[in-house]
Amino acid sequence: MTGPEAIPSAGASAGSVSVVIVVEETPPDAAALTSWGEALAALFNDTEFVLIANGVPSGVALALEALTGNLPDITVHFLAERIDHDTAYLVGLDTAVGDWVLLTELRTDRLRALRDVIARLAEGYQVAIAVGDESREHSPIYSVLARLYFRLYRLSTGRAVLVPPAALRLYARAVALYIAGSSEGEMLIKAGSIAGGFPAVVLRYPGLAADPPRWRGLRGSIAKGVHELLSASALPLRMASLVALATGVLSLLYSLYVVGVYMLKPDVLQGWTTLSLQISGMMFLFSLLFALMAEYVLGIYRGISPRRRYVIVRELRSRRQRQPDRLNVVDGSGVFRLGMPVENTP
Amino acid sequence: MSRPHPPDVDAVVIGAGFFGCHIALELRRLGMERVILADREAGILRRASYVNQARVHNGYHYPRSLGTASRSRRNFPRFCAEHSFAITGGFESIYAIARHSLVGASQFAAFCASIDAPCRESPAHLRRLFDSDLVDTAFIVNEVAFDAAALADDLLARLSAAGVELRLSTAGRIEAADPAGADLSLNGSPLRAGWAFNCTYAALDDVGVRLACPLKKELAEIALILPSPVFAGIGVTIMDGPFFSTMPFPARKCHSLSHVRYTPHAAWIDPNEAATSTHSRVTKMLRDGARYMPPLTRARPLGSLYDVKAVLLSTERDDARPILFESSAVSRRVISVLGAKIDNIYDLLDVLAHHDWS
Repeated sequence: MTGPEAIPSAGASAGSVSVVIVVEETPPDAAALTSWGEALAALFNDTEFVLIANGVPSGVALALEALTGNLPDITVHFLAERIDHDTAYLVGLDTAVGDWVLLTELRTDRLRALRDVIARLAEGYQVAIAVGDESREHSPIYSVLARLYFRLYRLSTGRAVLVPPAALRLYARAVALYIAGSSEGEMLIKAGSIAGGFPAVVLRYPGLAADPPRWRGLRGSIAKGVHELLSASALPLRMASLVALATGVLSLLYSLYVVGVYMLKPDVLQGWTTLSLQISGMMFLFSLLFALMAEYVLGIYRGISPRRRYVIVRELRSRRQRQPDRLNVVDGSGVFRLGMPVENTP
Repeated sequence: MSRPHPPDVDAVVIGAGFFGCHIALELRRLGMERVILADREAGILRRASYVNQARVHNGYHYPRSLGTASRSRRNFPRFCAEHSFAITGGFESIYAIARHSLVGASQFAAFCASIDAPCRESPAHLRRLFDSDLVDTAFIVNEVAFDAAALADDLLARLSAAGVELRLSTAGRIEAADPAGADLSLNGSPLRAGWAFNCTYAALDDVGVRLACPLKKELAEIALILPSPVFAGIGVTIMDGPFFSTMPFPARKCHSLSHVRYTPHAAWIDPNEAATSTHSRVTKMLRDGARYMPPLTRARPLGSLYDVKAVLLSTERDDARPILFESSAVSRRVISVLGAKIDNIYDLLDVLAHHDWS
C-alpha cells in the first residue's frame, strides 16, 4: 500500500451488518464465507459474521478456530450445550451489534436475492424476508400436524408462520433486539411480520430453496410446540382462570340446589345437607382463590422480561479485519479511503 | 478565451476551526509558500470546535460502527499525547447502558473487547447514581475531555510560527474555479489561489461550492450545568436509543449536557433554509435525564451554547461519523472538508500527506 486510496462501498448508507450463522455438525465452508464477505462488503460499510457454535463436537470446534485464524470479521460463540436451533439464532441476535442482522445459510444462490432484498430497504422497511416457492420435505403426517399446529398458533396469537419458510431474514437492529428479548422469539423468526411499527416486506423468489428440514424427533417437536404456545400466549392460563371461575359459579349454584332440596324434600338423609354445603362451599372458595391467583400470576408473568438461559463458554474472534487500515474519511460518493500502514504513520 | 492569471497565494483555507487550522498547518508543512486561513469569526475555534461535548473519543461511542470506533481507538493515544496541555483527565467516564438500549450490556462489553478498549463494570457507589429500573449496567471507561480554549491558544501560536496568514473577521467565498485554481473573495476583495479548502462545517454548502454529498443540518443546543456534588469528577453517557450525556466542559469549568431528543431544535437539508429562533430546552433535558440519574434534579443550569451541526445525509441512519473530503466537480483544486470528531484529525492528515498536489 502506498497511500490513501478508495475502496468500494456501494451501499455506504446501508450501515453495518451482522450475519448470524448457527453451526452444529458441519463448519461453514471457508469459500462461502469469503464470497459472502466480499458481496456484503460491497453492500454495507462493515460486516461481521457471528457464528453460534451450538454444542459442537471437537472436530467442528477446531475447524471454527482455524476459520477465525484465516478469515476476517468472524466471531464465534461456543455454547456449552446443544440448544434448539431457533433458540441458537436468538443467541446470535442477542450478541450481534450491526445496524442490520441477517439470518441465513451461506448458499451462493441466495446472493442475488440478497442484493434485491437490500435494495428494498431504501423504501424504509425494517424487516425484509426472502422466501422461495418450495416447501421443505417432511413426512405427510408431520406436514399435516405442523399445519394444524401453525393454525392453532395463529388462532391463539394472531401471528402467521411463513410457509414456505424464509431463506433470508434481514432485520433492523431494533427489530433484532425486539425478537431477542421476546418470549416468543423462536416463532417470531418464522413469521413474516414481527410487531406493529416495524414495516415488513416478504419477497418471493421462484426457485429459492429453503433451509433443509431439521428433524427434532416426535418428543422434541411436541415439547417445542407446547412450549412455544404457552410462552407466546396467555390463553392457557386465562382458560384455567375461567374454568376456575365457572367451577366457583357451579359450586354456588349447587349450594342453592342443596338448600332447595333441604327446604322442599321431606326425606333428606340426615347430614347430607351439611356435608354437601361444606363441599360446595369449599369448592367455591378454592375456585375463587385459584381464579384470583391465576390472574395475579398472569400479571407477574407479563411484568417479567423474558430471559433465555444459555451459557457462552468460549468466544473467538478473527485475528484480522477486512478493512483494518480504512481511514474515517469519505469522498463525495461515500467511498472510504485507506490509510498508510501503522508502521509508516508518524 | 483569456487564460486565468497565476495564483496570488498557494492556498486559501476558509474556516478556522480545528480541521481548518490543521489543514493550513499541513499545507505549509507540505511546502506551500503562502497559505491564508480565513474565518468570519474574530477568533479561531469559535464555532463547532467549541460548541460540542468536548469529548475525546476512544471508540466507546460507536458500538454500531466498528470502522469509526476502531479509528477513534487508534487515534486516541496519539491525540492525548500531542494535546496533553488541553486534556482534562482525572474524572471517571461512565457509559451506562439503558434497558431497551440498541446495544445491550453484554454487547457493549464484547464490543469494547473487540476494539481493545478498557472497560469494567462500575463499583456500587457509582451504580447508585442510576435508576436500576431504567439502567441495566454501567461501565467505567477510559475517555477524557478537551479544553477548546487551550487548543485554540496552542493552534494560534503554531499558525503564527508556521507562517500561516490568519485573517479573522473575514468572510470567504469561492466565486469560480478552473483546473488551475480558484477565484475567491475575502471580505469582498478578490484573490486567486492555487488551492481552496472549504472547511466551514455547517456553511459547507453556502460558500459557493456545490456538494455532491448532501448535508443535514441541525440547530443544536449544548446546555451548560453545574451538577450536584455527586457528579464532581464524573462524566456520564447513557446509551443507546435513549441517549444523553453529561461531561466535564473544561473551557467553562462546568458540565455540558446534551440529549438526543432535546439537543436538536430544528433540522433541514435545503442549503437555503436556516434555523429559526428557539427557546432553551435545558429543563426538559434535566427532567428526562433525572429519570435515569435522579441526582441530576439538583443540577443548576448555567446557560446554553447553540450552533448549527452538520452530518452527512448518507450516514445519518447509522452511527458512522466519517470525515468528508470532497473534491469539487468543477475543479479538483477546490476541496470541501467536513470534520466530524477532532480526534480523527490524523486520518485527514494522512489523506493530505498522500494527496496528488500536482
